[in-house]
Amino acid sequence: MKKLGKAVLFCLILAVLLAFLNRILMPDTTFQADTEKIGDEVDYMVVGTSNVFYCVNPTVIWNEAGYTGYDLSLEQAPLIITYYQLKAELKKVKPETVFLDCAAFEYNYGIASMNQLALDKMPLSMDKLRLIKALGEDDKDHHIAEENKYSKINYLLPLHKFHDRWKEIFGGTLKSRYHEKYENTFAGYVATKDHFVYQNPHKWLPTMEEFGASFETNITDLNREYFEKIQALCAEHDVELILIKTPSKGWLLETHKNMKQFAEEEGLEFLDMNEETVIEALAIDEQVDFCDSSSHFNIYGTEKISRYLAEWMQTHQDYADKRVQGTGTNAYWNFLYADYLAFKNAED
Amino acid sequence: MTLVSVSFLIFLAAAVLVYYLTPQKGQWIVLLLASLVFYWLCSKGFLIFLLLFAGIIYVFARSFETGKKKLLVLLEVAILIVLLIVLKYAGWFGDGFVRFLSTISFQKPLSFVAPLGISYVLLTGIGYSVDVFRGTVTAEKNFLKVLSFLSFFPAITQGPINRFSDLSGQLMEGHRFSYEALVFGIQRMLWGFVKKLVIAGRLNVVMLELTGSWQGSKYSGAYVVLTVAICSLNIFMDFSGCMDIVIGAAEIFGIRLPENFDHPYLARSMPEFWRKWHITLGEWLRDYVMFSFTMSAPAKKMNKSLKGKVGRKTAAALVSIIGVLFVWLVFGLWHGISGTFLLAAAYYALLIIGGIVIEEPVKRFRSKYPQFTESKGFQIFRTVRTYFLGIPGAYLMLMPQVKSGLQFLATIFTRPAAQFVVKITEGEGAGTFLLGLDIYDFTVLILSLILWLVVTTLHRKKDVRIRLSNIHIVPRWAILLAVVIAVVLFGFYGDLNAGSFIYQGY
Amino acid sequence: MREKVLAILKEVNEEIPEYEGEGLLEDGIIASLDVIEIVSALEDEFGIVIAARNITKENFATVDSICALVESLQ
Repeated sequence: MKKLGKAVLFCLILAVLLAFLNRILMPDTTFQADTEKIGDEVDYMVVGTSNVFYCVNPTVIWNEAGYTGYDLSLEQAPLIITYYQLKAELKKVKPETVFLDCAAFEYNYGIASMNQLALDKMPLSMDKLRLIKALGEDDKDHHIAEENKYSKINYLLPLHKFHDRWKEIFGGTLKSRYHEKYENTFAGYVATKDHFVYQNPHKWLPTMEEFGASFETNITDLNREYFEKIQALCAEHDVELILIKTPSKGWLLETHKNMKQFAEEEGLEFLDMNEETVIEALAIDEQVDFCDSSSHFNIYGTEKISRYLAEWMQTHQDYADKRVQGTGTNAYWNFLYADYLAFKNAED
Repeated sequence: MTLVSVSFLIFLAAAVLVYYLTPQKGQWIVLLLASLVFYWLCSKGFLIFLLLFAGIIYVFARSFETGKKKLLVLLEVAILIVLLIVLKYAGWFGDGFVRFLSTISFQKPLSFVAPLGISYVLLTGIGYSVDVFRGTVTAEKNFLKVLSFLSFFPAITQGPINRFSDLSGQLMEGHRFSYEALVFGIQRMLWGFVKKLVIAGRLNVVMLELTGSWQGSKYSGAYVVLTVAICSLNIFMDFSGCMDIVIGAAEIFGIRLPENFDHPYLARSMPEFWRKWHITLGEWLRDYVMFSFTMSAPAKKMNKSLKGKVGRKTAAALVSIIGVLFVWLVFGLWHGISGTFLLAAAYYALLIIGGIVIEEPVKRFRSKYPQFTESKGFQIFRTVRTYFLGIPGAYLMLMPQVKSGLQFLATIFTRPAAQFVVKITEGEGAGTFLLGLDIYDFTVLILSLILWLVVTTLHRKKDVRIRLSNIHIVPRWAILLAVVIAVVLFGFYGDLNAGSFIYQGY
Repeated sequence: MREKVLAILKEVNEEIPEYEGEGLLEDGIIASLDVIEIVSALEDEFGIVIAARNITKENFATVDSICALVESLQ
């Protein structure tokens, strides 16, 4: 019995040490909105992939229309992750509308290293375990990447993946808080002044032939399954679900048509910003507005897109202009916008 | 699930818990179930083939009780070997066959691999059959007991190759929980993790760097000698580390498995090296191949007729050379039907036969100059010589192709001075790289090799675990915690390809 | 009989009579090569047949165990 007590004590000490290591070695890539400060008066939420955090700037929408909302997104997030992220989020806040990024339909199980970022942010719960299980399960079409299969333990014990970051401690390069890329974030929006010129000279909404590469443009069974879960989740929380596609020169006409038909079948509104009328209204300058690809925008591009979205909300939704009413979180939103302006106007 | 995964640790813990909660009479059933579950988790539907092998082995062993034993034994061995070849080289039989096997195993065609450990089951099973045939053990009447012996899960992935007479009784008798066995078993496993994850993981990176991932290397000359040494050290750390994990895991259940390594690098001759390296395979080959041949009627007849003509010594040498050739042919083929393994086997066979040929002159030399040949210096010379004779074999085993592998070796002579000094180059991105490792990993490799040397030297005189248990609890726990944390931090795992063993492929 | 066995063993390998351990075969004092010579000589001397099943580390552990083996086969 005494020996057993000693063994338990030994394991406890070990567990504490490991938990400590886990804490210092797990990279913190937080760029999600601070829901504590935003409060529960939220008009909208934009969920999905990097196309969300590189396109929609909630502070600009606030400044334009007085609507509150934020981005909830992850690089290359598959719908599975979006679903569980949204599920957790809707327990905390109740937006009027959820805009679902259609780029998420391009992924199935996502990429393990990216998924890891979302999972590391989730406290242990049954939903987290369900998500981990879902990410490791093969569907009948074998969309799963090998690395995902083997990542369950990484998702569960981040130290398993990040243990070799001990080198960064010795090298003095351990960044415990932000990924460099996520240094300037505003309500889930990642601001950057980077600049990228897209070389392929085709028009917006190209056909597959014009684009010069072939893709799977149909919605996979897996994504349909998780889309339906998202739909049910929104219905349960009495939230309107809208499909959105931010501008991207890689978004094909075929995919657009499929998605449009899908939205009609599901009886959902579908805002595709790649349509000719929208593109004209946005007046995107292809020489100036992209940051690292034709679907990711720097602050100049995102301002155009966000302003357009604010106008669209004014004509299509009946959110209240909170600047007029004056609620408790106005100060925070004004601060966020000022903060963004300071970043924008700062000399590099 | 490999032996170095977190899932294996969880599985092992669960099995140990159930094992000791079960009355001793039923413990072997728990082990059998654990083995089957382990096999299922690793290989899914290939469990069928394990059962098939066990079934064949069981039925034949029973049949030896009556009838024409010799023919039956040959038939059994032939069936098992054909089955093994069909499974290991499914690709030869066309895509359709691979797809069929994939359906059985519930695995995608791309990730097709031969059933886990089936080569070890084959050796263990043939050993058991021959023992029954020779009458040294009696055939087990209960199929489940044979299955439990053949499938014992710690040993099924890479051995050691068990003997029925040594293991079966231990499996059946049941064991009372012993705190010491638990602690010692865990400590032995921990040491295996150090060797496999911390040392071999890094040696593997160095090996791949030096050989250009076997695709064509930018190194030459003296680096080739280094490569050969690294290859052999890598196999040793990988394989003996695995054995530490396997034997440690078995120890927790109160079961002692045979050792597979006994300081092979201290061997003073090639035969001694093979008594210290992959011991159970060496003994298997000696007992079931070598003696089967040399004690057979034709071999004895040959010996007798030669004796009159060339003398007793030479006759025995000639017969044993033929035996040696058989042994190494089996050795090469067992590792795989490929030129590289046959070449490695031929290399070892040549060394052993060379030893037989020069045995008499060496003996005469030794009795003539006893002071010299028994001096410490000469003994050290023998060890060093054996080491350098032995290590190229490991390289031959690891190289994927005969031609490119030998071309690389040839650069020792063709481009001897091309790169002699260890050069520190700037790698892509950050940090300085040394032989494929950054400065941190390189430091860890050197420090862990020193640690290995110290622990091994201490262990030769007295079991390190007993030494540990004799010191005060504070330094003891500090050491143990430090080693666990070192494995957690410095281990090579967590990646897709990490954690696979060299000897799992054979 | 023991003297005869000892003489055979000594002729094959001088180290055998001096060996004090309990694993002639296991420790490699008797190599596979020696086994052939020993078996052949014992068979001739005592008119017995030694089979593969008899070549175990237990039977070839010490000079005494070899004598016992010969005795059991006579």
